[in-house]
Amino acid sequence: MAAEKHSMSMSKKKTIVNTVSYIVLGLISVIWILPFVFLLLKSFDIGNTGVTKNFIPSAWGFDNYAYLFSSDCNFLQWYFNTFIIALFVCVIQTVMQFMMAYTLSRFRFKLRKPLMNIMLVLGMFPGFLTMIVLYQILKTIGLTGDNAVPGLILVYVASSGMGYYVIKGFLDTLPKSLDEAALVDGANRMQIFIKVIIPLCKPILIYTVLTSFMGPWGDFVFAYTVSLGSQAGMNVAAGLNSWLSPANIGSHFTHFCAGGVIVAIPVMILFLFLQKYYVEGVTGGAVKG
Amino acid sequence: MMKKFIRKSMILLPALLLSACNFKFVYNIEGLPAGGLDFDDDIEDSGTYDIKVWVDDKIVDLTKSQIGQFVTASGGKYTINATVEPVDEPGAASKMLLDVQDGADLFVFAQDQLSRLKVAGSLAKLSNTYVDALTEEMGIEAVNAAKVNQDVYAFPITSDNGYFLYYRKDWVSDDAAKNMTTLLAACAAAGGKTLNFEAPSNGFYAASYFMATGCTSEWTLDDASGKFTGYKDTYNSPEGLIAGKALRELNTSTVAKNSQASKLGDTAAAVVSGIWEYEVAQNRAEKNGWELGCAALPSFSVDGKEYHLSSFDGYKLLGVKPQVDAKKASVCRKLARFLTGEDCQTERFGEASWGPTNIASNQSEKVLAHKGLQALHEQHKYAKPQGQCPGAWFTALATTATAIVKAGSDGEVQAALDTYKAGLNDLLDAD
Amino acid sequence: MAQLTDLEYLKLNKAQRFGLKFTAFFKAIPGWFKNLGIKIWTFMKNFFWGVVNFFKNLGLTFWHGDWKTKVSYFVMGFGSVMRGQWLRGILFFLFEVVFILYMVLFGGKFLGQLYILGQNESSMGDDGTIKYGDNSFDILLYGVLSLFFIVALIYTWYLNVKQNKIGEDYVKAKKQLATAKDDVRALVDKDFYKTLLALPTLGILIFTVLPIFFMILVAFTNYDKSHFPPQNLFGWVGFDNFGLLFQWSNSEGASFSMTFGQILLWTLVWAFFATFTNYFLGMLVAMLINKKGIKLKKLWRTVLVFSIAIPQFISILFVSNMFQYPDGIINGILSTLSGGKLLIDFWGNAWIARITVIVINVWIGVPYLMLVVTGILMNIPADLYESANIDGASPWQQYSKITLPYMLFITGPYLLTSFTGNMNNFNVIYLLTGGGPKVQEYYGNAGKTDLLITWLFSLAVNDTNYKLAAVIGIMVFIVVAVLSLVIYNIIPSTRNEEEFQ
Repeated sequence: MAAEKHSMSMSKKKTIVNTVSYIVLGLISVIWILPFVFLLLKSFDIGNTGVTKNFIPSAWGFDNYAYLFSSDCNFLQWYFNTFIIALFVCVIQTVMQFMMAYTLSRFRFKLRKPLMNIMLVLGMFPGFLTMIVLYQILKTIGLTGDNAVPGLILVYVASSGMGYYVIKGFLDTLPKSLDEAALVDGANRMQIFIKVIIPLCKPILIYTVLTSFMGPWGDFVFAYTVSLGSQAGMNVAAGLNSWLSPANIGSHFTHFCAGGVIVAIPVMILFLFLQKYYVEGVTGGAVKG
Repeated sequence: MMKKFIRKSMILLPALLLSACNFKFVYNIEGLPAGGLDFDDDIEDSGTYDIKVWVDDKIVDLTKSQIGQFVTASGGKYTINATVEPVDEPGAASKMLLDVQDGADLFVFAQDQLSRLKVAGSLAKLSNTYVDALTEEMGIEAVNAAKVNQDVYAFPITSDNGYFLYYRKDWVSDDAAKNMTTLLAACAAAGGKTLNFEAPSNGFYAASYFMATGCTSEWTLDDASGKFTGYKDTYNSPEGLIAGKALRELNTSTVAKNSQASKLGDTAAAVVSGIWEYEVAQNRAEKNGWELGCAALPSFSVDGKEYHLSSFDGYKLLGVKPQVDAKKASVCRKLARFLTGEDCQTERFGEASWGPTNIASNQSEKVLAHKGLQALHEQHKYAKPQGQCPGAWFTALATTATAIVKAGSDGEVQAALDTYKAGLNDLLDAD
Repeated sequence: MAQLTDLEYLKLNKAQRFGLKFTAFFKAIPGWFKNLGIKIWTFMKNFFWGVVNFFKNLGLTFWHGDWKTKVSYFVMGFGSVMRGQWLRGILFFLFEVVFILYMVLFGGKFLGQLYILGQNESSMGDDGTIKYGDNSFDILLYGVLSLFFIVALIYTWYLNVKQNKIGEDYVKAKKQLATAKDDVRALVDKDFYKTLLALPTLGILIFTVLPIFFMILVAFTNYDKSHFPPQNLFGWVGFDNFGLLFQWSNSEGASFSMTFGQILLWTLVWAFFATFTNYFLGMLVAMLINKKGIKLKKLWRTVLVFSIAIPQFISILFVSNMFQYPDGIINGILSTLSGGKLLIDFWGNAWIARITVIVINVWIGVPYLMLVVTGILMNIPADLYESANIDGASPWQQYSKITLPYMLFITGPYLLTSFTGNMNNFNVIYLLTGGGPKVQEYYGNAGKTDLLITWLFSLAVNDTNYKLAAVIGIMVFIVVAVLSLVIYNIIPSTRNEEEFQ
């Protein structure tokens, strides 16, 4: 009898705990999604284009979106630019990072430790310092202003090798016996890299492609500098940011919201589909790296 | 940040408007303008040029067409491949500072960036002939706005970089708008509406209190080194204390620290802002069916004495960058001269409501009928010319104003003023 | 204090153990310094003799080498070509040619000016023209590039000499030298790492190392808005800028060093709170979702991960506007709920702003942390928990004795990188508050939520005061490096694996 009573109160306790947990989780989910709901709502607000108290629009309409696609603003140009940049960056960056990570994971050579340490140290410097220098370098090559897009791509991918940690962490978990078996079979290192290792890296590959694709969408500082006034060279982050200056925010805030929604949607969709890989990348590589 | 510097919209119409001689200047591209004035020693400068121009978003198309007019008027002497890019005034200044060589040949910037741009070598000096011509066309005040020490470095393109009061007439009566206390009361009475005034957090606006009581802050700029080498500042004085006491009146939730007219009639009953918000305000009034009022800034009273809020006269300037090629330099100058000439200014006013600096343009009916510009004109009586000062001065004043507004007593106000004065020396090194 | 035996150690309670470790740490410091000193001395000694040997070998090789080797000292690659390693030889030679061309055509003149950083000022004519003089920026940049090139040349030249020596020895011993074909084959096999590393390292060299080196040098110049090339020259000022760091102002005005100290303090405080609030809250959420009785695990996780997908600058900018006073969305809700009475100036009051920033950062960071923690949680062997349950341990005990130590151990390094990352977390602070509210006491337009890095940014971009920005950048680096080194050596993750287990 005592045991039964004990188990009953145990299960009751469990239900209470679970219900509370569900409530808490629900609350958390709501809080986390809320800003985006507001963002979405605000983007449909055509009654008041500035920042307002009310998150429910006074008047609903698609005007803000129409403005984005109109010839009055260069949003499409910015979007297109950023898309091209992201495309190139995600491919080249993945390649570069893989090259670096594989080398450091699989090979042992004299300069290996110094190289890793130097990259660690370099990473401790704040990124902005280098902005003006990079601008000058790009200017000398002629990749600023209207030609900002190739310039930005170049800068983003050039030093991408430094971000090898996640991939290396993953590669370290692949047993070396694989390599050795292939060597015994007569393959050279390059063939091992291409034919054996890479196919095994699908999750981390997708993770890297995803994160490198997302990167350029958020750069509003460097892109603004490099484009130097040219609309043809601006990316979407710098453009949207310019709408929030005090002179512009009164008439452009809702446009910003609409633009934000359009920028966020493809990235979000990509994320939803590839979520599995992202999670694997984070949990597998980021921590062990 | 940059944005605060740029907050220099000032609306300043020459008070000489009515009394100035109505000298109409006709610009003849052939090189010899009617009236006999000569422009430089005439350089043979016909040819094809690539010219880059940076202007605000709203007048990009207009500027393109005006450049076309310039080319047509030259009768084939010049062919210009113009690139007009939408860059706002703060952006133009910062980009010209970053890279002069690749920057625009002509660009519009706000007056407060003048000394910085001049020191960085981004502006070409105007010759005496030009200065004389401009003085006749625009009045001495406008030309002074473009002066660094004794030399003129840019063409004044609009005089409306000042600020005045917008209000919703059915919430705030014309009388209530005349005094700060009644104004605040009217806003609150209209249902918790706000007065949007940036004085508590923006040095540009806060200065209006101090200038009203007679405080001055003058800075000397050493031409050769481009540094500010000295100052005469009377903000920390009995007059400054009076201004500070009045500033504290703004410590109420009725005051919102922005200058966005987009909220006028909605959450705000009155907004202190510049002419750049006029269209937004006008649209709101029309769409929602209330009448827009524009007036000079209100006055405030301390210890029984009344002071009228002052403001900065401000101009936006069209700068010409120094060129390597003398011929191109000459053409750019002429183009800038054209773009700030009477016809272009009148056209620009009509299309984008940029208050003209040109005296003749200001006589036109449309200008006289413009509520905002007339309010500016009215405020101009109490406004002070901006003069040169380090950009950081506005920040110092802003933080002082913030401290003052929050002060709990007159003693704390004085303390804030003392801190302000003590920090002035650092501003010398900062520039 | 004599060393305790293991038994005695176990008998101590927790506080005593902590005290023991604490004092041991401090006691170890002098020894640590002594070790450091010994290491430095040995290093210098080795370095010195290494250099002497280096030159000695160079000389000997030349002296004893055959004519091919001797020529190679001047015409790089000659010896290799002569001995049949034509691929290597030609590559060496090409490098020498490229170097000479570069120096003569481009880099040489900059190198010469490095000392002075330009002599001819630009002059402005009266007709609106300008004659550009020397460009200090270009001189510094390309001068440094040339220096890099010279270093590269010396290294390659040294390789060339070494190749010659090896080649000679091989030939004398009648051994086979690697042919060009062998070289190519090695590049895709044994030396594949060289092929793989070439492009990334080159990119890093030019686009990261060079700029950073340049900016470090800028900290020793007077490059600011009055000395802005190409219209003006800037020059070397030695340690003057660093002197500012130690300048305490006499008046009550703003002082650079005081501002720096305050901002540094806030940066550390911020990094600490940002990292640990996210860490523990993220862990909490992860554990909550991971609990046995909870369904729809994937749903909860997806919802949170959602917020990572939105580009930060959109979400943060929007959230910043949500908290506007007095008419952002949050204040709107507050005032509706309180009948118009309650309005909070989130960004106007320094302390409220700081707290708000930390809170909002939780919103940004928890989903990511949750993912990380979830992955690790799943790896904790379940039988540990089962045996704890059998032993009658309460949930709190299970957490603090199993989960927490395990988590801390695994994520130790991650926490460290997270901490230093937060110290440099530009996006969150800049987009939320712009560093404000700005205050009088701070030098150079700094505000109460400014991190060192946002202050650096505003100095560089708004004030174009690059020299100070460079100084701050260097200081940031030093702080981060020192912290990383110290913490890395303290945390148990990298030392006491047995103790953990």
